[in-house]
Amino acid sequence: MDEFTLPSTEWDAVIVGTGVKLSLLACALSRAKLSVLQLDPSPHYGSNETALSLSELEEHIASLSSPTAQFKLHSTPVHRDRDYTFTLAPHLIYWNSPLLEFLRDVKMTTSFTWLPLGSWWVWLSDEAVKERGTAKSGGLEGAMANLAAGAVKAGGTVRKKAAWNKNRSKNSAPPVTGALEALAAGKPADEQPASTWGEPSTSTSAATLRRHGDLREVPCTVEDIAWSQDLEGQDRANLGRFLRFIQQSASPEPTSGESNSSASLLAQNADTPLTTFINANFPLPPATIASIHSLTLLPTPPSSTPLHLAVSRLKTHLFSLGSIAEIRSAAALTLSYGGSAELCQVWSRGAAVAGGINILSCDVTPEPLPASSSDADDRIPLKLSTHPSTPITAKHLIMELEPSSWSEESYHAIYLLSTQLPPLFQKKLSTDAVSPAAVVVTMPPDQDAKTGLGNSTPIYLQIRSSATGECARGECVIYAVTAEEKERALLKRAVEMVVEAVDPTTQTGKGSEKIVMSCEYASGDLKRVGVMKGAERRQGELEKVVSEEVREKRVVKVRPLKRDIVFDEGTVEECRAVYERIVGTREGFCEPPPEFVGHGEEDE
Amino acid sequence: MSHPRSSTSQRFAQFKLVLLGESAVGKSSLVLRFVKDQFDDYRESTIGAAFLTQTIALDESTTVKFEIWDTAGQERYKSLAPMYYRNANCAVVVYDITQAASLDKAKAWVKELQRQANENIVIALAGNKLDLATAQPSKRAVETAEAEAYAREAGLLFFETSAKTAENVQQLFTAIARKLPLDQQGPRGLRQGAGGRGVDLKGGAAAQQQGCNC
Repeated sequence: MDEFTLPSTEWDAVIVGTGVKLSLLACALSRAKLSVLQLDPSPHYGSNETALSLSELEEHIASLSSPTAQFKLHSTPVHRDRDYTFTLAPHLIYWNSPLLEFLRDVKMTTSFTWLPLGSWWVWLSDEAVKERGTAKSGGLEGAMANLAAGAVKAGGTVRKKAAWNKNRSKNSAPPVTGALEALAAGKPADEQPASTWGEPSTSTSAATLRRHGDLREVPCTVEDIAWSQDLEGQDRANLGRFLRFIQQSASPEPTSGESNSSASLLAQNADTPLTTFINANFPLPPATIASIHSLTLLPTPPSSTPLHLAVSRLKTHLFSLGSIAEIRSAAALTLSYGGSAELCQVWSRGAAVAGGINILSCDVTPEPLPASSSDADDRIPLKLSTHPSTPITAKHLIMELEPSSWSEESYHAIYLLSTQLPPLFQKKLSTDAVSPAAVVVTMPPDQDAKTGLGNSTPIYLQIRSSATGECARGECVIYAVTAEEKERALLKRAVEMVVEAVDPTTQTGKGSEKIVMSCEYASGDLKRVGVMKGAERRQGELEKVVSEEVREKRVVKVRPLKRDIVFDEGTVEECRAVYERIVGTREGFCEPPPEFVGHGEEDE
Repeated sequence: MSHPRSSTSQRFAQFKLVLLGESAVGKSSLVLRFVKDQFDDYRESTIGAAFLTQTIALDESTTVKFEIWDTAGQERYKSLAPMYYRNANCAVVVYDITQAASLDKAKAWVKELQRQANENIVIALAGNKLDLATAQPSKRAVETAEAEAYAREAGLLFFETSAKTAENVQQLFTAIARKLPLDQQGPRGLRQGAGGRGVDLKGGAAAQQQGCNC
């Protein structure tokens, strides 16, 4: 293509990178009528949240030049390179999330194809399910249990609006609080009058928790708990009480009078490990704790996950559940064609639409202006690799923090499978109008090696069907992650176990035959390429070229997106804060200017 | 307007349509004419015209919704990454019939689409600014027959259009809608793929009602 000239040498904002946060900022600042130049040294949008075809993925992994990064084709893919969209950011987005609220506000939801996540599945053998923990009484834990019992009793008089399950039946919302109370009283489901559970048909549709071999659907609704074959009477009651504790701890503190004892119980135990807390207050078998913990998607095992983190994740999950009209059994969504990579693509384009400019395969270096140039006072002088003879200046330089800020490592793998594992993508409820396009499978910690994995931290697999457009029909893509470096070798075995359990055409021990492609990388490897690779160098050059005072004022550093299974919910808020710093107000963040036509809501 | 979805005979499909072509051939103007039935003589660039959707009722029971991706000038800065068109179901490649070089650029985009895009992508070639050639035949730089022959050879739909007078604009998009594989399900067929449709995030009464109808 022809060489191009830039329309200006002076920019309000030069944004280095096209990841989620920087793309959102590019869009928001452009829409606020600032002149925005967004560039990326890589030829793809998305930086470390990009999406890649099969050959691009191979190139990308090779470019990491890390001993921990590998790409392997185990057989020849039957489809073409362009039929694949593998992503470094297959995030889940909960229905009750700041991101969705924001996208609705700025009328951008229709720019994406939203697909639901189905059930959560957890690998538990019959033996593991039968195992009963040694519930202790007396001592500190006994005292805590008493406190909890009081809390539940006190809480029972305060009827809170229950967000989860409320939409199960369109005619009568099941009285969830009442149902949880009934469970807490230890009554199994079959002793409940049908009216407690809404319409009989609704109950029937939710009655069975599915399983495929040792892969079990995670119970997380009242119906699930009530009907679970794996729970005994007291477990049912305690799980019901625990879920009610979460529900109540989410309620704001009453303004006067009685205190929210669930909230105070949570506050007192914020850092107590989840397992310890549950055993002390709502004793549950280890398998049930593992099952509940899998909903948190946290990297730590239940025995070392602080309660406040677990509760915060569980709240989001449970309050999102049942809210999606087309699929009441779902709690979260994901974007087709590469998850959050699609956000980068749309927001970068949004920046261009609003008058900004994106340039790919372009690096930037702070460099003093030639002596002949007019004094740029407190602007930042920059040189673009694509236009070395045309120095530019930026009022604000926005970039991601230096890689040293990445503290938590995670180990990732991507698998392309020549089977689509259809049983995992079946609708759960007869009322579900849409099928799930992705599911989460958890291999809980298994230190006794009962499953044969022997992992010490949870291994999470996100399995995405071809409905995401990321692979061809008859295939699926699995994204696997663990927090333990030494356990990265277990990821492949975990995938094989799931294939062997779910795919009717695969015999035990033959799961690996379905793996067409596998690739592995560590989160730290991503520092070696693209925009992160240059971060340190740019930082160093900046220090030479620009005074500390100007740096303080003009250089904006954004934290890299958390490499989490769930979309980093601090994103919108952090970008709003940057926007406020630059524009001077939070008002109008990313709102389309009035002269925009047809920004998405025109088909009312 | 959204159609009632209670009847099972209703077909509703959504497709991603990308626009490609040299700068200033009238890509955005075509879309604005199609979506808003507007034309602005002094429209400078693509600023503001994006995130457009438009629905076409093909017949009483079939509705096609286009989710239209305009380039927003990204082509000028070499920043249209393959991701832009890899997921597209259909493309309108536009040239200016008064600029011969713009057809060459269009041909280059067609080649790129045939190499990189969805296997079943429906590509339409649009020779825009027909009004100029109609008013002043000497301005025409690309003969209809020449472009038509190329389109036939490359397997493209072909129209000469005028965003200004609206000539052939509706016809262009309707022809694309008719050629799209409405019944095909799968990764590169309907945007929602094998699972039927995706989730409507607008929420509120409409989504609520939809869910209950099923």
